[in-house]
Amino acid sequence: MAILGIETSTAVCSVGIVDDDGGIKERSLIESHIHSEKLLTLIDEVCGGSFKSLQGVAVSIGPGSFTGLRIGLSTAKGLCCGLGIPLAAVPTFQAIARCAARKKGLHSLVICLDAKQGEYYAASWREEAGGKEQECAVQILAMPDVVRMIYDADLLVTDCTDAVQKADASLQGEDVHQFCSGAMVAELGRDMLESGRGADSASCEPLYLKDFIVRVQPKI
Amino acid sequence: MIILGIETSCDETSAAVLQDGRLLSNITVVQYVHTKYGGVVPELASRAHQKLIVPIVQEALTKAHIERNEIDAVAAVHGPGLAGALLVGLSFGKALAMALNVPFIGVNHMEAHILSNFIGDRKPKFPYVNLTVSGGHTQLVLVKDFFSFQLLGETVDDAAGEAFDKVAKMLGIGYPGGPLIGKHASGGNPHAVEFPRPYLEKGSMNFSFSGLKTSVLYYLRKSGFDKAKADGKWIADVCASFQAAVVDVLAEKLISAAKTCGVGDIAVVGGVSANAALRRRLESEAQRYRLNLFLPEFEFCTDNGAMVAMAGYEKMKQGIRSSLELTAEPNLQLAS
Repeated sequence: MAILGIETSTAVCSVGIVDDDGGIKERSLIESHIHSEKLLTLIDEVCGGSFKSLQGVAVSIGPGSFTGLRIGLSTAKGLCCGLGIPLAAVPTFQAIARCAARKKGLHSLVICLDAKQGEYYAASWREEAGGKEQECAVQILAMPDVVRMIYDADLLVTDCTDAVQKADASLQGEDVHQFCSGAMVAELGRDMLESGRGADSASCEPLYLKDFIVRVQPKI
Repeated sequence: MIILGIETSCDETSAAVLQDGRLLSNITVVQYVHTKYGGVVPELASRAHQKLIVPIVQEALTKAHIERNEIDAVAAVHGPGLAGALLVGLSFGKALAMALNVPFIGVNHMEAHILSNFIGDRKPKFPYVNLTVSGGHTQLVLVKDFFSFQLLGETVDDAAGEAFDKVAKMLGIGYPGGPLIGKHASGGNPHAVEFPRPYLEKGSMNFSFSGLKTSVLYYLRKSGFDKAKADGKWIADVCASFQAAVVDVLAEKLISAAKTCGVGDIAVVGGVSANAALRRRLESEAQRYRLNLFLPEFEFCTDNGAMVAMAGYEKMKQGIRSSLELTAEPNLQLAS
């Protein structure tokens, strides 16, 4: 099953494809505000100009940058709609965790991303013996709670090292962007589609996690 | 030639199918999520577009009896508008065009509004003067050809539709203000309150509605207005008087621009062009000055996919295509 993976939840714009023979292709750019412009160019490059063999599209569904998620999911929906193929909504933190664990050869880690306004998206991930992954539940936490999670893990993956070190200067973190991988999203998406866990492309929404609070101005 | 048009620049999610310039379907959903806030909340608009885009496009194709493989080009608005809202329709449209291996055409929302008068059988002749008047824009434009425009004037502060929304909010009659003020005004006396007519300096083709809005606010304060105790007839008189001031300015500037430019055809587009008092006034002015007046059908006054598909169709005929690297431009201007 050849699956295209799209990862646009952070400053990384990454596209990957996994095919039937286990072949993997990936193209990534690390730059803010270029996702809308460059995403289709990267898709065209990894697909070699043809979608004939493509059997599904997987997208990193969040949490993450609202704008990035919006571009990734709208693009995935357009492709699925045009090609008549299914969509998989891949949890962003699971893809980051598996990519980081594999690259670093580790079995437990904490992911912490800035959710703005003093809040952080945080999740701890653990791989049991036999490769079984614990579910990577993302919470919105204040930094002291994130720090308590970090003490129990082998590795911290983050986009806000400064904020973490302000809370505890002894903590070291790895930059999250190196683990944002379109190919990993494609790999997880393939597992989901093969096990009948696809998403409905009509109703699918990003995992915003944060409710949007409208601040109403005082009345005249 | 079959064109799919997609519009998501503000708070309407819309898609339309056009075949050889003839409209087959136009499906629009107005997002009511904004009503309780008295104005469009950009993040909520973007989220609503994300939920609606696929169902709306599918419904437009189904109603047109068109299969996706029959689409010859996809057109989507890339500006001006709300960034997050634009990105949903634009990203979807570009990816759909790429998947179908057909051209993608980025459309300027302001150009599309102007072309809403070309959807029916009766079309204006170039050159003509067009007034675009909505919640976000008030522009007088000399339309020389499909994509050749000369900006004659525009608002220096609030758009006309914005003034309607703000006055409706002051009166506590709800949102969106345009249709609600129009409804209240129909039972009121337009001469009850003499609000100022902001014409600016002599001969100016620019607009200003901010002062008029403030005049209404001062009038409400002076009258000891209390939303809870307000009398229906009194509100109707204020609405009718405010609306009359806006209509006077819009109508007189449009007619004056037509005389200055020496054209025989005039057109009004955008959400405020649905206002009944404005339509009546323009019809009588057009007759008086022997001008041919063009107003879109109500369905095409507010944002709609049909006008986008029409712009896409005319661009395709002229061989204009867009790159798949086209991105959202919230402040995109009308090209001259």
